[in-house]
Amino acid sequence: MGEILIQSKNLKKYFVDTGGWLSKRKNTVKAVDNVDLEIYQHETLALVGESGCGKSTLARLLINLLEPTDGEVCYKGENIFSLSAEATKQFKKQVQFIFQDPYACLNPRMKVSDIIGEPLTTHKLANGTSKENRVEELMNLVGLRKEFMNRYPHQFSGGQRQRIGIARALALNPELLICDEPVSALDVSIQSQILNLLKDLQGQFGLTYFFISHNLSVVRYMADRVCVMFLGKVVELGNCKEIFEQPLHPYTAFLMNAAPIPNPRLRNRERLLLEGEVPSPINPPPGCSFHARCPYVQEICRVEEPKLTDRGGRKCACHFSLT
Amino acid sequence: MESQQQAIEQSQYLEESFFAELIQSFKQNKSALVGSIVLVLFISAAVLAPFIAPYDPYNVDMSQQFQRPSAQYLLGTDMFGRDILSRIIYGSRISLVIGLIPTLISMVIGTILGLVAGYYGKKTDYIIMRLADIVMAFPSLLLAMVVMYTLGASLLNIFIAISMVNWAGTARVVRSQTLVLKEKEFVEAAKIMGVKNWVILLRHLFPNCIPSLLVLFTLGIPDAIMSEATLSFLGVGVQPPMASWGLMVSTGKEFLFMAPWVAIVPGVAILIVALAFNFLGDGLRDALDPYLKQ
Repeated sequence: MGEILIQSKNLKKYFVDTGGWLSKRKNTVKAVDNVDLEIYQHETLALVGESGCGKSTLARLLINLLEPTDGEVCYKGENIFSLSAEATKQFKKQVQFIFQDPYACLNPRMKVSDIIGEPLTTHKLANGTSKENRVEELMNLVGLRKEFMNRYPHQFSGGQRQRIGIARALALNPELLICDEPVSALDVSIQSQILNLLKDLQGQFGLTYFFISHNLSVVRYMADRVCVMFLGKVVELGNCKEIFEQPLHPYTAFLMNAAPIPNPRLRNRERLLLEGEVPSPINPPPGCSFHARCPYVQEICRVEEPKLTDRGGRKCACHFSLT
Repeated sequence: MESQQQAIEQSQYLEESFFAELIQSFKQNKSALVGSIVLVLFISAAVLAPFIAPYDPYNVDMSQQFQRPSAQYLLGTDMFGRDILSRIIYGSRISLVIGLIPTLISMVIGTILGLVAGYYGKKTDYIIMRLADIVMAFPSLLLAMVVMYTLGASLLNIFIAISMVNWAGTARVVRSQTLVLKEKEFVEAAKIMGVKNWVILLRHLFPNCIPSLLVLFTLGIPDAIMSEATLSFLGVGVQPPMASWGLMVSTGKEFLFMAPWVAIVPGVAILIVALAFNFLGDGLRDALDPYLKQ
């Protein structure tokens, strides 16, 4: 494994809802709670978890789009929240983002050439002909015809728009790409095209991906390592193959089990399904946040919060762990 | 080469389709169409006033006092024997200027303040919006009159008075649009790239507010025309002998029973133009609203 590219230390983001100045209500949502995570150079780290577990918040913290409540994010050893203006500018060149919604991520009133060229003009790297050449090069790279340069986003399909978004993210030759569910809004046939494009680009430029997804088959195809989140906390982290084949945390096991099976002949095996509701992140239960739904729950789970500990090259936050 | 040609053709087709759609929508919306036609006539009258006015609007001829509408004087004459039709035509110039310039000024102020309030939020938003609330809480006519009394009656001061009153509405609309737009992912993308805040405002937020601004603009013009007419009617607006429609109603009201046309004709002119702008504004709003499209 290579060097650590970006690392979060005790990262916390709490959203406080005071309910206005007349209300005494004070609710705290712990969207990201004490997350320690390392992303190594040239790897793909996938982040999985159900809706509302803090995946997108974590992604937005890693690129300094949100201020954390506590903790730090170190990019190449330096905390990104205390960088000088010049260093922040450099950081923003090296980390880029690919969005989930290909419709909302492109300004409807800008031409494609201006959208892809915006990072270049912002960092004063190119203008005029040099910008045009670079935009052509990028469009070629992501498989768009250069004749589309003067079109507007509404003239493209979802897959093409996502390609535009990728071209924009690549314009500054970043090292780290954070992909927030980049294919979940696309047709299945287009999904594979985009995933293969991302893989090709990774090989070509040695990119590092932080890949957020709902879709476990996508994760299995893309990731080197997988990080499983539940209610703002990392519950399991490890090698992709190992996690898929032998999950340690009960939540991971249920998550893997809930994934649809494409082959109908294999479908008749018994499925483990979770009972109950996801606990509200506003008032998470004491102890292990998963205890209300865990079939293996013991007394200690209701009282003590399990720590993320090393289990033979993997990390898992459970008092017992499967196998 | 062929595909390039195709791409160009297609883009032209799509560019045109926006206006084609607008025209299509106006064809179905008869009141918007009528409004546009009236406004074209109104604007040509203002521009071509010296060529189409049958008489000099300032020429006093006491022998022709209070002539009824006739073949010689189509809309009659006033107490100084001036031809009312000519005065209406010249008055359209003032109405046009009063309609356009203060609306434009108030739109510029309102747009800037609305964008800033919506984008920066927190204290900035609070201060700007409370200021807008204060302006809106006052009866707008009263506020305009206070401005006119303190600054004195002149065309420039009418601009200031009307702009001061009208910016708040624009600011509110633009702010609410900005609040929605700034959460969009393309704004996030710009922030991630390190685009400066004012560039985001200018390049990403403002262009997406333009359709609403267009509607506000057409609806703001009749408001301004009405305000000028009211101010002139009350004697704090345009001063005689300038031919303003509001002023004509004001001076004509003394002879309402003896020569009703002196006050009624300019009154009807105000009504028609204000209605035409409102129809056009409504039509534009419907045409640009994606939810109303079939």
